Amino acid sequence: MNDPYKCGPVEILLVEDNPGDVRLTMEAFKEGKIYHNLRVAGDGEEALAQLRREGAHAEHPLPDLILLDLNLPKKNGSEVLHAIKRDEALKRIPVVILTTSAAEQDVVKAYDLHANCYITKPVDLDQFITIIKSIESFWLTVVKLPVGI
Amino acid sequence: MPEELQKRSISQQLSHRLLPVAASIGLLIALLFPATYYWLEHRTLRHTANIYAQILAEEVEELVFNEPDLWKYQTYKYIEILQDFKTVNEITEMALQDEKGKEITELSQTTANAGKWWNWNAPVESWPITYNNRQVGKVILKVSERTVFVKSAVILSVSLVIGIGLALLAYRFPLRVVWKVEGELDKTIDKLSRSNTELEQFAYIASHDLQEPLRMVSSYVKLLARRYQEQLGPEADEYIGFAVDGASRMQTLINDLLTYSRVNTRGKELARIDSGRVLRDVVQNLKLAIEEQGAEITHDTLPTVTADYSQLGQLFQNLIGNAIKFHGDAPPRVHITAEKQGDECFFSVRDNGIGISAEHYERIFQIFQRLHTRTEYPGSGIGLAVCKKIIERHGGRIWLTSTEGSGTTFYFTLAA
Repeated sequence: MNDPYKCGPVEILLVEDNPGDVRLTMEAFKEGKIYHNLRVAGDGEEALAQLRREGAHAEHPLPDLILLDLNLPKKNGSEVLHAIKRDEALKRIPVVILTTSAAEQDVVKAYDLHANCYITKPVDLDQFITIIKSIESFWLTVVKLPVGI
Repeated sequence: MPEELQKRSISQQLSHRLLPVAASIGLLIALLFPATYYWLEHRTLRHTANIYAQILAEEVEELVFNEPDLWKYQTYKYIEILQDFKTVNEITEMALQDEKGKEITELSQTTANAGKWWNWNAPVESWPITYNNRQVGKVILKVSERTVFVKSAVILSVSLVIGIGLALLAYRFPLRVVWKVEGELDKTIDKLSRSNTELEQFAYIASHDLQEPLRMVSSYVKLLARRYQEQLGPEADEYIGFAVDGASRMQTLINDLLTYSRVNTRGKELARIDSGRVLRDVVQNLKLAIEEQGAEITHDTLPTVTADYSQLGQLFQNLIGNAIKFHGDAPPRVHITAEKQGDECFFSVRDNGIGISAEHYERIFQIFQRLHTRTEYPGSGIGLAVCKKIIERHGGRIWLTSTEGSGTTFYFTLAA
């Protein structure tokens, strides 16, 4: 853990509409070593509602890491990314784009909107699990995250 | 974007060339008729003048007959005759000359029409005055060309109008035909562009949307294996193996179809490129396979050709990759040659692999056709189909010769 005073689980927000992919990600995180709490938002609007702690989400802490898919119903991933990085309270949270698209224009657009990194979901399960583990390892152990959001 | 067809430039080129031609034709016709008319009428007028001169000469000869020596001095007698002739409208000038060719000025007659500008080319005719078979003088007579000029001018105006009309016709008519053809061509181009876009969209949908359900199948079957390995029994591995293998093959098929369709939809304009450089890049790409199999790639000097750089790369990579993959007992030896003949370059890729039996020569270029099982040699059977499509796009030909057990040589042509 980055912060020696924080002893709760690492909060991760997964914004993904495909339940199959959600479950896969959860299973992949289970194989990792880090004590975490994975919350899921099924679309862009729900994601922003959670982040802004609206309504039912008022008690939830802010996530330490956001995994964001680009293909979302209602608000798409780029709009959510833009909203997060524009918001004073939210812009420090690292956003990892985790999506199926490998298209050049999507990558460029994501970085333009200040995504912290862009990952294309591999087709093979083993590779996917390896990548999730590297995300964990990199963003949650190697990297220093901003304290006290 | 496949080779852009030029819209409208044919008619532009044509109109530039056609204009002077049409103008010349028009001008020619415009001038031809009045010129011909003038020439004919001028001849007729000369003939008329000739006759007048002849008649005048005869009348003068009557008087000469009376006074053969002194006729030149008896001016008053001739004035009468000449006055008569003066009433003839066409006559403008009359003169009599003596036997020495000197004009008898007292007898010279001119009418009001003499010396007008339209008479610059007016016929001048003469007729000898004879007495006792001896020429004692000459009658000179000029006639007016006024009516001829007027009529020629009228004909010139009419034929100018006709000439301009014909010129316009000669200009517009072929252009109309070309425009119509170009219109059809433009419509076809638009249809093809739309069709191309549709194909590209379809290919994108195929690659993108088909892969997600595949991913689910493949991932969850594998997850099953990971989580419930022990609990499922020994056959489970086999079942899972087949399921996962099926999914990943489907994946490869989709990607291959995409590659195949993109030969045309993502093809770039053909340009002059160094095929030697393409080969060097391909050998670099295949470094791993070359090292693994201990393969040796040799080549002659390769020429400049007209091609799409990356597609030529795909072509070389498929052919050389195959040569390495389908090797016999000996390590693969691949040799590439090129020969320029006229405006074509003949390439050959020769290997010492397992060879192909002649009965399969046609089949192997078909999409997804394989000659071996997947356990013997991997691959989906699209490499040669892509090669063929690339060569067709470049307007060339591809074929092979082979001996089973010793090797195969692939040949293809490209524009020099």
